[in-house]
Amino acid sequence: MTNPKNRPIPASRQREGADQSFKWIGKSMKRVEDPKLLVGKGVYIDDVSLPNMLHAVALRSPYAHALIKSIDTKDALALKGVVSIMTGEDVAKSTGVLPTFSNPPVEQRCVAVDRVRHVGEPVVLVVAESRYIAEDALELIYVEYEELPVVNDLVEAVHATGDAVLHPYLGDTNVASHRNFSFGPVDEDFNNADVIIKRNLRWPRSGAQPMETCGAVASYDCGQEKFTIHVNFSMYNYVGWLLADTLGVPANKLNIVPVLAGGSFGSKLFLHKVPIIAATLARECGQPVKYIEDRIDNITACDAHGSDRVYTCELALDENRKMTSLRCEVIDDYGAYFQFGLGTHGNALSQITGPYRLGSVELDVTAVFTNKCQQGAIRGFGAEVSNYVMERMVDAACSELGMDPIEFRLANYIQPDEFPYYIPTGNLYDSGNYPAVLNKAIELLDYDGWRKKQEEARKEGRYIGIGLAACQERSVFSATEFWMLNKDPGFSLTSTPESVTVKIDQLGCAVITLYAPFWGTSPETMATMILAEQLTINPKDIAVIYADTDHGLPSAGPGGSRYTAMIAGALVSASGTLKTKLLKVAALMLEASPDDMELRDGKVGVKGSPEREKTFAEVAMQSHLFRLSLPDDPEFDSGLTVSSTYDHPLTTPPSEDRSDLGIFYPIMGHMCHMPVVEVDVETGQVKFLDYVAVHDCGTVVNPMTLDGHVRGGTVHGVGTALYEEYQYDDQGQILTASYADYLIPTASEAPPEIRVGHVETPSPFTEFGIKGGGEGGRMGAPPAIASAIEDALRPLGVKADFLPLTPARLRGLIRESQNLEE
Amino acid sequence: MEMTDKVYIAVPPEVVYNGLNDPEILKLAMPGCEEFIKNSDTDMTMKIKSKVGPIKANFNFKVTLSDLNPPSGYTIYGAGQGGTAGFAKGGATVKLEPEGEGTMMHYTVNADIGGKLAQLGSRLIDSTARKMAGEFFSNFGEIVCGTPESGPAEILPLETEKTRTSWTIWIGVAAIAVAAAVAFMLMSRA
Repeated sequence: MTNPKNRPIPASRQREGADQSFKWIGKSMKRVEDPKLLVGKGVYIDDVSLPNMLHAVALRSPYAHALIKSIDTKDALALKGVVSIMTGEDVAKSTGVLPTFSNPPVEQRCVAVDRVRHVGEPVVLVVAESRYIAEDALELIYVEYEELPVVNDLVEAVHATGDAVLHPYLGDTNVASHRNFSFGPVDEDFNNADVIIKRNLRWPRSGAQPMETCGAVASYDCGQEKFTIHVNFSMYNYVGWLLADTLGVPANKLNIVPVLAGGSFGSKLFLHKVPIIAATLARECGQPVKYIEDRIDNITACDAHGSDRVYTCELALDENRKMTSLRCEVIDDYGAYFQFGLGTHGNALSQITGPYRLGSVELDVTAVFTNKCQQGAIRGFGAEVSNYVMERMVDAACSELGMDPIEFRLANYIQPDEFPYYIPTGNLYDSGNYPAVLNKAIELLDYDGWRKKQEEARKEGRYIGIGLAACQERSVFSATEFWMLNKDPGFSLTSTPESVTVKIDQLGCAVITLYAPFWGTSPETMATMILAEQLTINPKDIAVIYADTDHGLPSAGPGGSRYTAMIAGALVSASGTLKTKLLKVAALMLEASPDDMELRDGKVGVKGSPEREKTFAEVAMQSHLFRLSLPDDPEFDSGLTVSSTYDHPLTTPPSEDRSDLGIFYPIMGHMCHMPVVEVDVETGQVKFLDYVAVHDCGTVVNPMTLDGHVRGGTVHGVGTALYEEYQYDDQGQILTASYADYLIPTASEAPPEIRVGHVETPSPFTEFGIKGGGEGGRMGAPPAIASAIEDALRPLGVKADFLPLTPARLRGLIRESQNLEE
Repeated sequence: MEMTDKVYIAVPPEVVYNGLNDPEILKLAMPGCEEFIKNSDTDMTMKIKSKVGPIKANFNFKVTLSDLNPPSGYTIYGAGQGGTAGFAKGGATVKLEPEGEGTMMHYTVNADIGGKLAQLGSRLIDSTARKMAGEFFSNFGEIVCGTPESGPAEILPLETEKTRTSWTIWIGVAAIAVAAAVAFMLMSRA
């Protein structure tokens, strides 16, 4: 066993510190993405229309687990307007298995062959001249199934054998993986514990619910033997080449063209099934094919359901009421496939001990297959669950030992002078100031005031509760989290790079090329503000475009709250090179020394001589068109274009035996959420009276857009805490396949106002000290809301350990405790 | 799903039983029934066309009767594919007991459905089921115990069943209609 604490911390590669006065960074600038979106000129996947384009739909399995005995497509093929029909066997002749990070690989195909493993899995593809005809043709396809036993319950899944096994080639079991990870002296800490707190916790399966579903428009040029796929897929410049592999072509014969994504919240991180279906059909038909999921397709088969976990947890405390160790056994229902392996637990291990000084932690994970849609990425990627677990255990300790939740947290926090701080798993927390965040939340909420109101309300028989969750938001993920929990990884990535190209055109305006798509976040605004800061040019003189894979550079795209920090790194590199060239060219033009030159408001001038300056346009014109009047040195070659790639700023590999996972998620944000709720004990309804969310995302680039992120994520978390749950019956039928049954919070269910506060503890490792902020709201709201509900119902002794706390479930818990009292 | 219930029908068990075994009566009584073929006393096939909320379903059902005990009851089993709407399968045990002038029908229903029928949830299908139930009541009543002139017979759920949801009532009705009933019963359960 290696002790991470003895491992030296790599030196910071930061070039731009936080301690400077900024012109643009830190200002609430309106998003530059918005005008085109607001006038309806954003191009989403359904706006892509190519000449002679055909439309595809999938016939989906109504059975959760069955063998496909026969498929009769004769009548459907005879329907006028139907161009082609492909079964799984037809597809398998030209197209391989879908990419997976699991090893041994869990085989998934874009269309099922021989066996269906969940309701909604594609069985037959139909291509027709219109979507209407294709949908009609589905009625004329006859599939004969032989039903197999259905595995629905995650605990029962552990023991299933025989016909109930989903992937018999992996062995006679539905256990996809069982691993025990122990970091630090767990047994010793539990043996020495003064008190051990135990709880069973449940985290429900939910989904990201982007307004736009997944879709692709693919074409195939048989002359060049080349595919072009338009798709709303995020990591296309990172793992897009894996799709080429599935299609059986070299990566230079597949061009992936990004489109605006109409929301993702993680779920479009790595699309494979949808673009592969469109591409396979385009090659078959020799015409472009559009394939877009409808809502039921997305809910039943998007390959992006969230974590679905049952926990048994124990928390050890010493005689001073300090937490020393956390021990969790978890069963996680991964559904029918296992595309990211245990990645969501790897993610959680980056911050599993929360903001606290625990010396050891043990996690026993059993991943099971069931007849459900498989898990994928959704805001938090598993760490939102460990936040919930940690904070539930802290609340349990406070409540069982009669300790004040604020005093207890303050006493257990990692203190501001202890950073950078290694947690037992080997991940490093770069920086933080947890007491400052908590104190700001207390002040913003008027915590003492609400406690008084709570007391008065209780006298009137009203149940008001004040919640508290102090959670981590790890940001800037490193690729190791995808594979480090595999004993034997399929392949091991190391960095998660990000690139930009910056061109200053002949008239002195800048174009930034991004290599990851618009995802509903604010990449153009972030890039614009950071470049404006670095080159002193006006944001109005900056345009942003997106590159396809033909023109691609390394990019892992938005995900893991990384994008702003990472493009900041690439932009600092690119703008640094450009600045040097601008200074040198202008120095020659002004017959001055480059050392005496400076950038000022879109001009290059001699320091101390306001009249001696050239505009960017003048310098750019010189560089683009009059290169031969500059010295014969490669640094003056024509043009002003620089591409830069920025690698992960701080990551180290895991140890061979995984007793030390290495530094993999070090840029550590923090948050404190304090909701105030009132529970109607007669109906189980939860109403928000107030909500405060204080975040520390390091240096804030744009407070307005960050506020939006926090509020949106918080409402997402309200859904997870109170309403959202994919429910399957015992036959594996999904009963929540539309928004009539899958409940998302609307304006009426959301807190009337989410009051956001910021604390800025800059990272010493990223440019400007930026940390990620994209996932924060959802990573803090569920435990905070559970805490508030438990606080409200404290007189009744209700434990809020099972999410979602729907009115029906809450009413059940209240009734149970009232019966106990009687 | 499993459900046990009973309904009162104002004609004697023999009349009910015969009606339930008459393909023509069932075909006429069941809304959307396009074809009802009695292959033997115990095997039937039927086609039912229906629209439930946004789902258009063309069901091809195979129905089997067993434990025939005229006029006191039987067991039925049915299974069918509804194309993209999904599938339905299930059975019912039906007992007819004389009660006063009429018949008390007891039934136990087991049913499973899959695909879009299950996915879209009962709230969308409820109103359709209610409408079809009403039609079946009216039709079967007219046929088995009256003429259109004399009005539909009194075939109504018991007063004590008022607390049950409308689709439960409808399922009771459906069970009366033997094979045809199975089809609708299954569809309604989503």
